[in-house]
Amino acid sequence: MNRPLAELPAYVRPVFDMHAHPSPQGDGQIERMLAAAERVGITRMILSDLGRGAWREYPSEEQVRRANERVYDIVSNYPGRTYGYVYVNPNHAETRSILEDGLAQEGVVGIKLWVSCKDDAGRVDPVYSVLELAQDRQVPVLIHAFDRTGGNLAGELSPGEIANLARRYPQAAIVMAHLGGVWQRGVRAIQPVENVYADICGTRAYLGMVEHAVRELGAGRVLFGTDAHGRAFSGQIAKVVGAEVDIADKRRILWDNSTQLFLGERKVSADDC
Amino acid sequence: MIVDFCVYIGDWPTYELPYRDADGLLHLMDRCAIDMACVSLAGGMFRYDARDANECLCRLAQGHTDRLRLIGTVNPLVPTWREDVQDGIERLGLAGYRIHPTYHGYELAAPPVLELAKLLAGVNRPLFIALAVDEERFQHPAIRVSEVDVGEIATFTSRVPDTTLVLNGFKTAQVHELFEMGEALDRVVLDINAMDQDFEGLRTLVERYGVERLVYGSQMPFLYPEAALMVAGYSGLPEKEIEAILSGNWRSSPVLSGLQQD
Repeated sequence: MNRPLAELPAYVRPVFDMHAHPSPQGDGQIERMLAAAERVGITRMILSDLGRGAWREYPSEEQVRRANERVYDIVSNYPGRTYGYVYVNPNHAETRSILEDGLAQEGVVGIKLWVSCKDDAGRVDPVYSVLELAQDRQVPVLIHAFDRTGGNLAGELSPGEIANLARRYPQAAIVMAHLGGVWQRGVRAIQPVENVYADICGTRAYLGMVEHAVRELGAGRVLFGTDAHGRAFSGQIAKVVGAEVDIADKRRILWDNSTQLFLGERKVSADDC
Repeated sequence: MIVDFCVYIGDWPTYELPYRDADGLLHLMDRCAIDMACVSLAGGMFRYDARDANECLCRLAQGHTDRLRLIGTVNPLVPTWREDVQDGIERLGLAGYRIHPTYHGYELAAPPVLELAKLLAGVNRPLFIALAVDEERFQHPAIRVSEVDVGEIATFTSRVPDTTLVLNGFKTAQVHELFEMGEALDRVVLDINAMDQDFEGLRTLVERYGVERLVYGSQMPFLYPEAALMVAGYSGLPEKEIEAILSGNWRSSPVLSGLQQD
């Protein structure tokens, strides 16, 4: 059987997945998930837990704390293979202490914001204190971003809003998730703002999306993530495998950029993993 | 031999597809060792006249029909649809038809759709049904189209049991739904291009319902053709089942295996 490209090219391994979630069903699937990840060469993964069952757009403080505890448990059970984000709903009064607690945990290497980024009046002000702390501590912030047909969710940021926040906090490292949804527009919105990175995860594997991101942002600002559990690891890696860019750029996307941004490692040889 | 059951050619209205002509498709196919592709006109559903769309498809694929099997556009609500289908098969050599019901605004229960399916069964041609082309959440505001309802498809399959149906763009959860509802799926195959939900969704699906109804489809040039290949290849399924999806299952359908000889 002639099936060469169902096999991953050798250059792909190792892979750093900087955007993943444990199953919201909480049925002990983490082992299976890590095994599936390893089949495609993912040896490092940063997880955020956004809740149990259906994810709430504006989770309570208690729900956020419990979600984070689950991530800290995973990270402590699988050190070196898994890392964590501390997740917050920035509208909570206790956000700073949740962040402080989280960032003190071994293996927590970033902050995650999802779709609770605005207050009741639709202002992004609650995010300011998160970015101030992130800027002070030099901790990257992964922010979900979309540009939905018919309008975003109440607390969901658009790529343009992320660009504006990044201009306000120029020393903060912000990762715009999902290339901003509509990748052509999302990438353009952040292109001039150099402290914004973009991850390619979660959407379908749109032909040309990675090439476009590399062309507009440079490979150094493009990060690999999967959005698993909700996506197949392999289908997300195919975005990079199929992209018509240099192999050196693919390695930056698949590994180097995340090791540098989240772990502070300048260059890591594949033999070390 | 890998056959891709979900491919488009030509322009799409909302952005410039990276590869839009036959040479581009063949480049992508060669990259992934895809031998043959069932190709429809990307913007065919927006044409007023299906004959115009199908002639355009033929022009774009000219000289490459050894590897590109032409799957025509038809809108069964248009009064001339019977002539369009006959003309496409007899004059243009179309190997089947692909319908986009929600783009044309009809339900599968509409009598002309049932008649179309039966007509194609009578001439040993498959009917392709596209659930969607682009994701609803990212569609152009002027072209907002929902996915075809799975329940509608389940009912349709039981009303046209003799028609070979190729279902494009089913997501993993929708396949579960179809298999739970559908009774007459003997002549139905589903391409795997959208079955990338859940880190092991495809494997779960196969373990529950078997592998026989699944075939490879990429939806290139909208999507990287490597994606569906790798979702199958790294599904955790036994090699025999991966091979069945990528290159075996279509052979057991008399109508689909006939595509090879056209």
